[in-house]
Amino acid sequence: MRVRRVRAAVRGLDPATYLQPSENVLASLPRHRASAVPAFVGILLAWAGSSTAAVLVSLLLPAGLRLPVAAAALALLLLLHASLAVATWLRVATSRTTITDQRVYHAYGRLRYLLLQTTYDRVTDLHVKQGLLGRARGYGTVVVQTAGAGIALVGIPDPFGAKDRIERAREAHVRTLIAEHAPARAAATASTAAARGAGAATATPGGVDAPAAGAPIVQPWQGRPTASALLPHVAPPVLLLVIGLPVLMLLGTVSRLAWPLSAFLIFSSLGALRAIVRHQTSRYEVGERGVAVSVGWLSRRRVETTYGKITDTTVEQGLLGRMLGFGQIRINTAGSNDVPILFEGVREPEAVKAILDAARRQAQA
Amino acid sequence: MSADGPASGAALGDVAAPMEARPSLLAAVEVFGRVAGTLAAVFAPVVVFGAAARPGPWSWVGWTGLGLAADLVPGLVAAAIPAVRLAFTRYHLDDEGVRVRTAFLGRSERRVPWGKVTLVRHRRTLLDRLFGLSRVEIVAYGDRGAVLHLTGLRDARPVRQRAAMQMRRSASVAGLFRND
Repeated sequence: MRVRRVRAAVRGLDPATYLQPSENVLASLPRHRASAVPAFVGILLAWAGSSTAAVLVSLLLPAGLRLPVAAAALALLLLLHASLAVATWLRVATSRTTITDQRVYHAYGRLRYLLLQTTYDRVTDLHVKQGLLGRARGYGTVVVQTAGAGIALVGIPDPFGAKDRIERAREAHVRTLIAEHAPARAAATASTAAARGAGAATATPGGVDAPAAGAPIVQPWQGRPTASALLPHVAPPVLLLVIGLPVLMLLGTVSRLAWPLSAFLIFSSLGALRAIVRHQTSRYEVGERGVAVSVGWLSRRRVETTYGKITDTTVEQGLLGRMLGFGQIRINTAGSNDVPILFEGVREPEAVKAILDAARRQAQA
Repeated sequence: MSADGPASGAALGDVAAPMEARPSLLAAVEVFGRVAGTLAAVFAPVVVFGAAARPGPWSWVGWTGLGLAADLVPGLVAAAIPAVRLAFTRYHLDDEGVRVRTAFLGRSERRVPWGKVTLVRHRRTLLDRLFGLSRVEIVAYGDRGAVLHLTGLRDARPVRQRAAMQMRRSASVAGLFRND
């Protein structure tokens, strides 16, 4: 019974537990056992290096402590590296790559596991890497790259063959998509032509596809930060001047706190001034093709993006924002690590987000 | 349900119906473990050297007690914040995309459309295993874009399957030629 459990733990997850119901498996590849050798060599070197360092450090201790500390450290290091070796072996033994007609999966682990999956239309390129040992023993790594992320299929037997299988599966998937797309495109074209003929739909100035007939046309939205969003920025210096200073004067401690109070007043006033300038000069737009934000007084900055480039949107409202009805919308794209478009201090951010979603749906339609 | 269970189309239900999942508060234990573990690594030498420097009948007990207090109290405080956040967090999956919504004192909602999802990760750590949880990460353009962490899921398989199905449904010829 125990042996069966151990065998089950080493086998890893059965692909049938994570495949989609309508998928056909083209290949199911376990990881090549020899691909564990570099990791084992690394663990061995780390163990030898750390053990040597532990012995050398123990020599600096008083004579009575040397032997017990060195023995304890060596035993601990041995246990640690043996655990690492077992974990590495389990990872190798349970790794499996499954290539289906729609997706590629890579899974490893049993007690703790990781399953990665992506569909072929997301795949941008395939990389094959093969080291010296890999060439000798016939394994390598295939990296299935998607935009901004990817799946490294480590220790794949016959990596070039696996890459060819993935390529063929991807081509077949693309052909399926084109076959699905053609009737939908024809129907959309016919619908648009009929709508144009009836004068129901109007072409947008930017050359964007006209919205589908019958769909409500979303009005472009333009906005600016609400005045109540200034409150957190303006309140600190005002409160200090109106309440803080009189109270401190009554207590007779103004002269002792003159420097910190002056510094706080200067910095908070500058922050409030900056917030007021941003408030007065910020303009937000949700248009037919995308969103834009422009900000600045002396130097002006305008950032635009189309709906197709937006990866994620976040609506945030703090406690004060919820009480006063304002919040911020972060609109992210895949172009940079920063959030490029930020609608700050927007009144009713959920409603603006709904307009943005509707406009995006319309543009995509 | 866990990822070990058999896959079946019946478990998916209607694809068009929105799905809502809520995280288990046990997911916050990980934060506690991380903070307490880090602090334990910092304070362990202090305890050992402190006790060795001032030997006495109660020295080890006192120093160990001090070390434990220094680990556990900040760990509990650090875990309390994400636990409260998790209690007010919901994961929504619908035809358009996946949303993570937290509404406690403030409110935040992060949304990724299915068309932008590039990868789905289903992960289970040993701690997750202990509590019967797992986590799904919805990756949209990796570090350049967004990663939505759906942690503390008692039943991650329908979420992962819904994500896989919606990724397939959102696949389009236009997407293949998108220049991003």
